[in-house]
Amino acid sequence: MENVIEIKNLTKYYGSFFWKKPVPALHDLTLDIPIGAVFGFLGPNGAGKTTTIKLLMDLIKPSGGEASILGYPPDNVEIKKQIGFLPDEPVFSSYLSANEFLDICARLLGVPSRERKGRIAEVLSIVKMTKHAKAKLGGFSRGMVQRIGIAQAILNRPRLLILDEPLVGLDPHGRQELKDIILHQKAGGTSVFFCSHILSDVEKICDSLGILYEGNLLCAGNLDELLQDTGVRLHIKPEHDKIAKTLLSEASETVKLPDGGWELTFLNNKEVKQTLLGIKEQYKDAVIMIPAKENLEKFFFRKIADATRTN
Amino acid sequence: MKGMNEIGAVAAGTWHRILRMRVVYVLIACVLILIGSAYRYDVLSLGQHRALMVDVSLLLNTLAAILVAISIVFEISREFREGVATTLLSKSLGRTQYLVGKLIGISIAGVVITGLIAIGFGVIFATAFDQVAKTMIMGHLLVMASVIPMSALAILFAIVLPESIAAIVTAIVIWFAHSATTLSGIKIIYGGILPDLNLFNLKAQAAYTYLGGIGGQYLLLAFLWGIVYSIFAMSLAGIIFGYKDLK
Amino acid sequence: MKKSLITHIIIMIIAAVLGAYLASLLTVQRLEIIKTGSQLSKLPLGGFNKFTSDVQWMLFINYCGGLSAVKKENVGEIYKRLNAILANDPNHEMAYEMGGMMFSVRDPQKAVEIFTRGADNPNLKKNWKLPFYAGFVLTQHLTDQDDPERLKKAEEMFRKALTRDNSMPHVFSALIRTRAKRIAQRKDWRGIPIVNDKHAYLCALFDEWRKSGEISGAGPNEEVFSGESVTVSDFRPRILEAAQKAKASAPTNKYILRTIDEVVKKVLKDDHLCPKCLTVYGPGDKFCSACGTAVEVYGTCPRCKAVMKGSFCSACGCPQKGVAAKPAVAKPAVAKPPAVKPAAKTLIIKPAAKRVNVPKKQ
Repeated sequence: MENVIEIKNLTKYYGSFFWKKPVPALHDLTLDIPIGAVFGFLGPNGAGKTTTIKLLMDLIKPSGGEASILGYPPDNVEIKKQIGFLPDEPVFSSYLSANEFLDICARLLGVPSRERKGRIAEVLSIVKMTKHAKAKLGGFSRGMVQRIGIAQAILNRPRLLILDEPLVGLDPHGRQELKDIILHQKAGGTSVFFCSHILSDVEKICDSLGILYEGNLLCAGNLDELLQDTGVRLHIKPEHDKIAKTLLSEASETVKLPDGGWELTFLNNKEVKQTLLGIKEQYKDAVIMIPAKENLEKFFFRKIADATRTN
Repeated sequence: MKGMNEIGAVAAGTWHRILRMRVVYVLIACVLILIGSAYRYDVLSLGQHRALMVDVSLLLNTLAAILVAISIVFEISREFREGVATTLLSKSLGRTQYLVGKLIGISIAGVVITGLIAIGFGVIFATAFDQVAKTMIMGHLLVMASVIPMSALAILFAIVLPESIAAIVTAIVIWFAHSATTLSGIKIIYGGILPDLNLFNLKAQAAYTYLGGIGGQYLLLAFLWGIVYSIFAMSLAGIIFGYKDLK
Repeated sequence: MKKSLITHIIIMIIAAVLGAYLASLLTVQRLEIIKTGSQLSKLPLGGFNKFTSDVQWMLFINYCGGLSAVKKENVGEIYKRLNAILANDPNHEMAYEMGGMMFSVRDPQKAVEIFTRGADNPNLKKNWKLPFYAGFVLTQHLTDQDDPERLKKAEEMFRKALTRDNSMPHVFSALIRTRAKRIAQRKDWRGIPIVNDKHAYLCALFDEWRKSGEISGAGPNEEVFSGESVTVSDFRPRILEAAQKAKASAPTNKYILRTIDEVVKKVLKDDHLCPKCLTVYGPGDKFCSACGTAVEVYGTCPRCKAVMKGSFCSACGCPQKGVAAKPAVAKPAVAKPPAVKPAAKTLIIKPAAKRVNVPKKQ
């Protein structure tokens, strides 16, 4: 098994009753996530991210296609003992204390009874909720519930961690802690599949990602590969405005620096690249050429904009 | 047995939730007050208050059992709506196991609640009149046993129908399953596919001790029928639930 | 098809079949327990028929409490309410008793119907009052009291009442009176023409004595009775009185004499009776103390003719032969009916059918 998740032509329509027109939620999704990867699944609201996760967790049934998770079909109950899952907007039984809730989860995950107590204390400590162990979940804030959600997801030392919007509801401190937890899990050999809207955080922790738009996968792959060769950044030193003016029309982005210099960004284009190489040759130290790496946010919006235009 | 730990976890969560509700004990206290008040109807009933007390206790205990059974409709619907079921089912828990866990949990809660009412009645009756007769105990035991198939019906409808409709349909079905004695001649269908809850109704026998006893064998068979019918209902619910998309 | 789906379907089918089988077994057992299932209302009351009947009962009492009397105008309403109670609770003893009583004057037919319904209820087979009341209304409150069908029904009801626990001796009297009426109507008793009512009454009593012996299985001349039943402790005085009255009514009538002869030989065979007035006389008596007729002397010493008081003659010491003198309390029977010692013989009416053990009412 090379991949923790293998998805082939997965399709889902909602409300496909005979009196209702089926609403497409996911269309022909094919995706493989390798072992040990931290995979970020991105997309605007309604793109089909949660639908994909629910299909993988067998919470909803596919209209077509197939998926396997850790080498087994999603409806295999036993394999879930090796998966940690945090649902979108988690709500847990409000009458239970954190300890009781985690005890039920541990039993459902097949954690041996002799290890249960210790493991619960451990995960509560990881999510910094030890002092709230005996408090009722009903009285918890959104962020505290999210922390308990993360605790129950890592309770069984999963081989695969599936997180649906894990950063929502957490304060900046909490977000940092969660990122540390994910990276810690990764270091321990756990593969992570998660979706999020907070692109800056995704960029920091993911090594691969996929972008979903209206049920269609726009792109997927290693983060470095996806953001590679997006263009060239030209740093022009002060008092060389002439050079900048000749290139302004070609640049995709122009920034006048406080010291009077310029920073121009050019998208990948063979002709432009030739022109820039010529300028570098001509002005030597007055310009510095740096391969421009598009940030995830820009990449994401560009992909979405392209997809919108195509539609 | 494989899966029993998971079922036990769901069941424990369910009965803990119900038995931790203070309102349950307030209602039990109200029921016992109502049972005790039957003693004051000696004049109005021309001395029939003894049988009346037994009958009122059985009536209220049956209503308590029905309410407990219907409560599972709201419990399951709430878990679906809020996503608690999603969390549970994302663990190593089969869908049918989830339903069976719910059934066991609600049945235990129901048996505890109806048992408390029965014990309370016993104390009241023994104080007001004399020793509780065996048939009265049997009558209450039958009511306690009826919680199981009624809960199974409630779970089945909770899976198939929206919350409020499921509760109403469950109440109607339970009502008619207690009433449709004329259907008892229809073999296979009645008692097999359609529920015959009248099998748990021997209230007159409990109220009038001179009518003759209710044998232990009958109680055992009725309990067994409840289990078998619940298996039928749970299998059907499991099939439907297996294809259901969760929130 | 997926394996789990097939498993679910198989389990479902097995459970449905097994459930139906168990339900059919339970339905039979339940009907055996409740016995009155067919009488129960078919209204869908959610199994709360008994409670509905309790409420209806209290409303009924409330309604009846507001009535000054049971009149023609309210008979229909009372009957309707009573029927509703009994449809939901066919075992409501008090509803049968009280309801029937309410109708007994204004509408005896309805009273009889209600009492009979209660009397026929297998769950109320220990209640002797319901059949007795039915018989009583049939013989006392209906205008055509001598209707043979009604008398037959009344006799059945009285007989039913007699077979039930704690039945009273006056039920026996009512039965004999009704039986006598029927015998008088037939004008024939086992080939003997019935002369008058007193003759019929004697025949009725004799019939009952024979019947109790036959039921006991020990034959009509035996008196070995046991078990649950009504004890008519003054049966012998009754039959003796009936014989005396019959004889007084027609002293020379051969049919009456034939009947009396049979009664004396079989029922009163151990008593020493005056052949003329049938008064019981004591040991050593030579003449009847009531009519002066010479009677056959008994209970005297064969040697000195003194009255024997024990195993030996107290006058001459001669040992007694045969049975010791039977003590008897006799009274002149000219004006007042004679009586024998009550405990001497007891008629026990036993039920014809095999008894079913039912726990006693608490």
